[in-house]
Amino acid sequence: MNNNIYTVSQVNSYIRYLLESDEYLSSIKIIGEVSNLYLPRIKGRHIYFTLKDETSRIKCIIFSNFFNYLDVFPQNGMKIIVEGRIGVYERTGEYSLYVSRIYPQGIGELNKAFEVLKEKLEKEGLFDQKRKRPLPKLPKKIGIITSIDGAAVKDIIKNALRRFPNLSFVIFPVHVQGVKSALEIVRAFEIIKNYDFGLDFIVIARGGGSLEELWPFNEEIVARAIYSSPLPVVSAIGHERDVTISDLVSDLRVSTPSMVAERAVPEKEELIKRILMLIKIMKNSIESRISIKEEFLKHLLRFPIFQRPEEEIISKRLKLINDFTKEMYMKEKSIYEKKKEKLDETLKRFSSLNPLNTLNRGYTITYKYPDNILIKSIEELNRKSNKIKTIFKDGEVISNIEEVRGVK
Amino acid sequence: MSNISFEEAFSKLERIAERLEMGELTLEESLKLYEEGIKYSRICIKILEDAKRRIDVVKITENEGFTIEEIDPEEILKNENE
Repeated sequence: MNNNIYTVSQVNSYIRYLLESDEYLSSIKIIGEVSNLYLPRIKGRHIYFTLKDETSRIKCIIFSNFFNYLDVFPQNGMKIIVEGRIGVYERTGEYSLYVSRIYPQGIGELNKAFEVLKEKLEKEGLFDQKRKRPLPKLPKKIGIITSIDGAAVKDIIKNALRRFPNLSFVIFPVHVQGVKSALEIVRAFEIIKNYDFGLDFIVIARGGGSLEELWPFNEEIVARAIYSSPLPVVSAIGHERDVTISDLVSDLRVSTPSMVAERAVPEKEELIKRILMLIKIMKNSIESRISIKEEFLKHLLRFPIFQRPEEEIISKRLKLINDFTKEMYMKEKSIYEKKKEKLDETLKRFSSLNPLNTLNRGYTITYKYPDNILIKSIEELNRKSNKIKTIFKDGEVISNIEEVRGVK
Repeated sequence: MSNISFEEAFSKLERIAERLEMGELTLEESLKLYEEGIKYSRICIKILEDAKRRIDVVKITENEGFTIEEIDPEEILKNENE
């Protein structure tokens, strides 16, 4: 009997030392049914649940830093195997199983887990059609996350190169089944995110298999890696009937690896054909434009002027010249005749104005002499020049002025 | 112009062909557009022909790093019947 007295802390510390240093308890697998599940609402908190069988129960804790290694979230009533170590919380003196892994038991449990995760991620919007990204029309480099030894990678590359012979691929070899698989897939996505390979999209692929074999693609961490991928992801997992969580999160799901090319790689020949078709359409429309102009031109050419230009031009010109000459002649003639008429009239008037006619009637005309300036008034007579010339109808008289008298 | 993607060049080509087909342009505009369309068709073909056939394998190493190794595409294609 030890008479020493210990504090509570000391005892709990000792118990903790005993349990945590035990070889069997430091790595142990326990089978049981999940109950009293507490899922954290806040990121970074831990998961608590109780694992029980018919007669006993044990507390379990999954620390948040182990979430990445979980295959499935536990669910109340789910029969699972948990792997971990026994730990003691000194403050309460309670021991628990600190869980590092969970293995659901049997197909029923996997189906249950699948439904749980599906519902959870659906609520979070990971499957939203709205966030599905389109693939580029012409990929140049495709990333493939799959097994390097499997048929899937060959199926994908073979079919893609058949459609487009000059394509590049970057293969990220991963296990495609077992607990390692999910972690490697996540790692591959991380590498792609952090290193620029120049990829256009990522294919995550696996050939057909049982639900257990396909299970990595139903893991939450894989779903989240696909969701956060900066590049579009194409999933090609298993057969047509197998739908995994990865399929639901991916931007495009194809039923089998051999279908990837058909949905995501264009046929080069087809593209070239379409380009040539577009060139033809352009050519045709241009040519039809030109031929419309041609039609118009042909229409114009039907006019006589274009049919027999010499004849048309010359005869028209000749007629024009003739007409012009005729017109000019007519004009000239009328002008001449008018002028002649006017002349005659003028001449007639002249004849009536001829002073000689006046002389005929007995009048005379008087000029100064010898200056021959017509005298119209006595005022114009210079007293010194006393000679005048008088013209009669039949001769003239030069006379001396005796006297000048004004009319009173 | 040389940095244009296949999608861009192809959709430009499609739009030009469409506009020419509608025929609401003058002959001069049409000819100019036609020339542009031919230019884009050449870019499309060039991009198609310039793509390379190459396969790289990225292996994750112990220290969380990775290595890149090029492999012969024939390697992948030839043993498909194994």
